[in-house]
Amino acid sequence: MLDVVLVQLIAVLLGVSVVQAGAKAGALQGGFKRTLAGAGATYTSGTALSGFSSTESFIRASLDGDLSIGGYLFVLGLLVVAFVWLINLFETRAVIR
Amino acid sequence: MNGAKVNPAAWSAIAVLLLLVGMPVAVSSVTAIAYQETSSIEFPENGPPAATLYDIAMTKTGIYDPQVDAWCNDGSYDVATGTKEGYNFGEDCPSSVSPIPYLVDGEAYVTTATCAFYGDFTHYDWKCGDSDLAWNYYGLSWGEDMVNQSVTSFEVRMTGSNLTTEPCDDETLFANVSGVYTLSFSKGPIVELAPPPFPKYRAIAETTTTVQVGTFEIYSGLPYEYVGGVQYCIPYFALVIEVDPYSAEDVAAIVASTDFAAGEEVWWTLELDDLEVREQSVSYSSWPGVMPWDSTEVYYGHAMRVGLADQVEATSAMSWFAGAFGIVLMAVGLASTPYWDPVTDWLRRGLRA
Repeated sequence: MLDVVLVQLIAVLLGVSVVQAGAKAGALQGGFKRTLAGAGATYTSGTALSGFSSTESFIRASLDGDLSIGGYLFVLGLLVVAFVWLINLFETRAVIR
Repeated sequence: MNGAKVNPAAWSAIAVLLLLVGMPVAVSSVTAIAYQETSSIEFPENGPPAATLYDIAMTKTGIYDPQVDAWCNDGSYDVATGTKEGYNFGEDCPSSVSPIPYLVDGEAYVTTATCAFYGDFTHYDWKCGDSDLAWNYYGLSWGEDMVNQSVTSFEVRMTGSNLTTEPCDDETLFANVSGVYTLSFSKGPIVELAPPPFPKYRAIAETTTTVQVGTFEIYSGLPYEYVGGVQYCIPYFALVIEVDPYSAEDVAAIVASTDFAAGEEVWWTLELDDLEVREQSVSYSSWPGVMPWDSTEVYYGHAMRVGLADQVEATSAMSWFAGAFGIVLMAVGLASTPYWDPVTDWLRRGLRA
């Protein structure tokens, strides 16, 4: 379950970052465009991570301990990235600073 | 540290690229290498496969309409008024059965996105969905049928030729399949089966459709999943045969699984004792006088899939890769924040202490 949550969380954060980067660059004016871009980026990211690769399965194997400590480091790395981006989002209103 | 502080956005961009591009590519690559190194399906020359044998009961639902040569997808038919709603036989209902194998805790199962027939004597409906519908409809279970017909074993003999067996490559697997498939029963007629033109199936989501007396469908799929540290890659063939239930010699259906080398013939005999029905099999019989089509035709079907799990053991290379990639992710992740300095300062103080 955590593997799915992690993938989806990262996908959402990637989507938010895309929207914010676009807005910062002057694009994506208007809520509709931003919503569309965010949804599209989130969907694409999630699909890329879970649909077209073994990433999700790989994460699951890591969580199950099948890849020993390397797997745990892998998951920890993902958690760190997600955690940092969440902190960025809440503290500075931007995923990427 | 200052460099990282100056431009955390650049590190964030690197993290994005790592996550979106680097990680999927690297994971797939290292897994493919591991597959080449550790996959193992061995077929003894004559006898049961050495690989783990999974037995799966697959519910196959719907009623075959011989007049329109189609399974109906959805809709309803009101016998009292003779009206049909929501579907059009033969047009809107080109296919309905899609076996979707999946693995849970190392056990292989099959679910189906199918259509169900239910109703009473005045009205009935077709509904499509997963197999969570209540299958309490008329019918006999697979096991009962087999017992009643005194079939104690059956043999599946499959000959594949010109098969592509690229492991875990859903683009090329089963790209070209031809050959003659023979299904025989220990107590029953030998059924010679000729495969239809075999499409290039891509993945498990492919929909396959009708089965009728004397013909068969081949399902192919490619579950691709880690379970318990093992990546299962299960290319399979599925034969589903439906016969007239009133014909004592015939047996309902078999879905068998194997992985062929080009031109190789493999066969094995499955004892019924080895087959454990994990889900209720469903069979059907028409209701004379109620069905809108030829009520003398009685169809029912079962499907059972016996799968072989090819597997990939987690290798040390995968573990090393995971560890290294995780460390890189951590470093890049920490660098992608304006709070980099406080974090590193904290670490520095901790190390000094």
